[in-house]
Amino acid sequence: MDRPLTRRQVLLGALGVGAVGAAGLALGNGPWDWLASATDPTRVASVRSATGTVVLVTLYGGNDGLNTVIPYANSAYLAGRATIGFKPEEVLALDAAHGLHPNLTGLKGLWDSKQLAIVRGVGYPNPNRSHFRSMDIWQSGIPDRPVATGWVGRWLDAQAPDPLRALALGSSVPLVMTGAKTAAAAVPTTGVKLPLGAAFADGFAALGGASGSPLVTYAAQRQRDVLAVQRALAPVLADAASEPIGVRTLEGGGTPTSGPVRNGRTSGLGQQLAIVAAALRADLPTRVFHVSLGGFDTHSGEKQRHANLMAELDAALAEFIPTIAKTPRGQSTAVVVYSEFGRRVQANGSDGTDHGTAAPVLVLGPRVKGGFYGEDPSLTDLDNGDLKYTTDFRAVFGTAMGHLLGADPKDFIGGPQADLGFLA
Amino acid sequence: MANDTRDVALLLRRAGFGSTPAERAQAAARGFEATVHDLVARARTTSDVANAKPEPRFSTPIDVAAIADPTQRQAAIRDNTKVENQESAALSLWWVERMTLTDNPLREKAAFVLHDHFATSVDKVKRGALMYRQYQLLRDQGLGNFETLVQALAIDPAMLLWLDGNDNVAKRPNENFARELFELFALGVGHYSEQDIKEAARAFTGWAYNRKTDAVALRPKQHDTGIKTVLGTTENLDAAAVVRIATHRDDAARHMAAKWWSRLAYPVGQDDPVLNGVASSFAATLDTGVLVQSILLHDAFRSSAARTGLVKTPVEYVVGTLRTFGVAPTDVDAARALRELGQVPFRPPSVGGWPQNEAWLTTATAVTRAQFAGRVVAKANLKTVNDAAAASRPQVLADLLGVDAWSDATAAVLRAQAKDVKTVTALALLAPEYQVN
Repeated sequence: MDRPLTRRQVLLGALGVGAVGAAGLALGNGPWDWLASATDPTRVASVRSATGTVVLVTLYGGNDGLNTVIPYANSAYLAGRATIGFKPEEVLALDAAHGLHPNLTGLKGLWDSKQLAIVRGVGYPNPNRSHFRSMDIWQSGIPDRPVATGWVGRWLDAQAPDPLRALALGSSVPLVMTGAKTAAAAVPTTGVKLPLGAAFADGFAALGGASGSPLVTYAAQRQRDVLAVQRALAPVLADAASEPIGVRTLEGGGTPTSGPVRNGRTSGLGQQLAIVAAALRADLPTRVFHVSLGGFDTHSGEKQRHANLMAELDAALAEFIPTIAKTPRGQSTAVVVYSEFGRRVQANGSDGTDHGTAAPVLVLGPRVKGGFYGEDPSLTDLDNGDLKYTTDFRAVFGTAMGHLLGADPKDFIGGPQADLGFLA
Repeated sequence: MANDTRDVALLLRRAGFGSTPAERAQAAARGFEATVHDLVARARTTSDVANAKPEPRFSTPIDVAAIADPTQRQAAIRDNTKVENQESAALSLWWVERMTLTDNPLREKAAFVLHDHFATSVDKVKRGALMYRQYQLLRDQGLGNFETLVQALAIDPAMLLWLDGNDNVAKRPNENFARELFELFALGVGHYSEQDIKEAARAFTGWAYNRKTDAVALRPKQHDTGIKTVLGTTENLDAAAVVRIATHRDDAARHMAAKWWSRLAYPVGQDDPVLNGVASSFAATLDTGVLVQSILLHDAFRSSAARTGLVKTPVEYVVGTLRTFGVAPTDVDAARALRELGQVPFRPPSVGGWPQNEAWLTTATAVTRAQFAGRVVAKANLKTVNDAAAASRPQVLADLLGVDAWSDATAAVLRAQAKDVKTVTALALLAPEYQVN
């Protein structure tokens, strides 16, 4: 190379990325500049001063809310669930009426230290019992009609473009992080490696360019994003590998679960959260992360399958929260755990439960004001055998958006909005 | 590319897995309409050079219930799981290999579109042999009468296991199949009520697949013989009656027209007016082959909206690339590419099938495609590119890959890298114009 190395090129070299040629230079005026100043105190201070960070945990398949936060003192609970219900002495009691699933021991600890908020009876009007439609409703934030964008995606559209602003762990981007003109970057947990040499990488990011076809333009933009994400994530993935999270699930005999996931695959939840923790340690400019766990569609043999999932969820989250609490970014981060619906009060004939409606949403982290929010749905005053929701999910996401993204949820989510008070 | 060549290139991509320059020249000489008729007529026959490939083999699982000793039983269960995983992986690869070999492309493509539509996963079914049986059904009857196909699928062993038909009994109906039949398979969201699902589920009660005898049968005691009201019809409906009622609704014709249009031309909702003609002619016969033919012959199929309306699915991308370069799937670990891209045949992510278009264009899939392209250029015979002068290589690659034209930006990149045959070929495989077409 005959021209003097810039500071950024030195950094890229240090990350093991090949020579920076035409495409690399073309990125120079883009939002990727942050890497040139990865350790620049001004940049780090600016990232740390952002209002906060959201980690969305999507439980695909319809998590059984009544066997997660268990109304153990209510006789209607066990009456409907003779074989798959939990007796009062089995639950991890939170108060005289509610207990956590016996495998949620780590979450019980977070509850005791006031870092777990439980929003009860969360749902929306005219509940839809299709996995796909209901998940689309939660992720789009618009219950009454199908739309192609999610509430985080619409927020992304309103920000300056930056491929690192939102990251989805896994090979696909969920609807929630898809906007009309931009989307989160998907980050495979296995990392970002391009073949051939530097000439290929340069060409790869310059292919296509602007085009009359929106899909061609979109494809070209995603390939440019790859280089930016690759450069930013290489050290983060290495760091994550050296500080794993939730590994005790594996050692304890349970296996990481994957199941019906709408947009692609899941990998172990702990593996995904370890990367999020490393990204927060590295002060990446990411404001929203998406991780997921599948397999919650427990129509049959629920007790064992759900217990394994609860153990995996618990191991990952209970280690993630104290880990991020040690970093400045983690201090302003909250985790929101939700599923597309809960399940019916009454068990079915296969020792499982069918698709239901309202369920609790869990919010965890240093910024959280622990405790119960929202009203308990009645177990006897039902709508067609299902719980009637008491809190609109849009207010839950809206509260997170207001406190952590510093945005007015009315601009991006709509619906009934009110600060539910679970975040400081 | 000349206009008639561009049209048949589009046709052979969408109704198959791409074409060689020679195939395009032949089809262009034959004419677009005649080529459509040829493709559909051939797809109604079983003729296929790929039939020479041996069928996949499946073993009989160990009967674990017959083993008294708990330790031995656990070992047998583990053995069964191991064999199931091996056989289902082999089956996925078998299909990809068949797609790379086929000379009856529309028949194989239709089977894949229908596998995506009636998405069933070996992840829950476990037994590859049952997935293979369902595939044969989709391939052999997929372009025939739609009601006949759905009647067969409603009591298909893999489907009964996948959507809990075995658990659907009169005392406690399981709604899983009834719901997906209406929502995804036949009618579409908004064209039935929750009550229709509840009552239809009762009509399907009692049908089950018996793993021991490997037979499907109606268990009369588990079947609900009461009066049901489904989509406005009130009587003692059974499974066949519900399928007949649902598949003969106008909503079913529009739903399927929208599905095929979305896979062959560009994504549409079932209310899109462009479907009016093709949906009403399909409603008259329920002949899926006729539906596919009418879409391919529709003016809008050759519109610019259609030409850049679809992103190649991972299977289309991988199979099309392998066919172009004459590379075998195992030479370049195509199975790994499909796994990382998120489209493993027989393993759809959910009963909703695979996503479309932008969903395949993430930073993660871009990297996986790049890695796959790297393996392809390492293995492929690149003589055609190599023999061409560097300056003409971009054009040679456009012809080879069936791309109408490179954009200015892509052409500049390919020209700049034209001296390195492997790099320029890999870059062409990553060009957005090849991915979106």
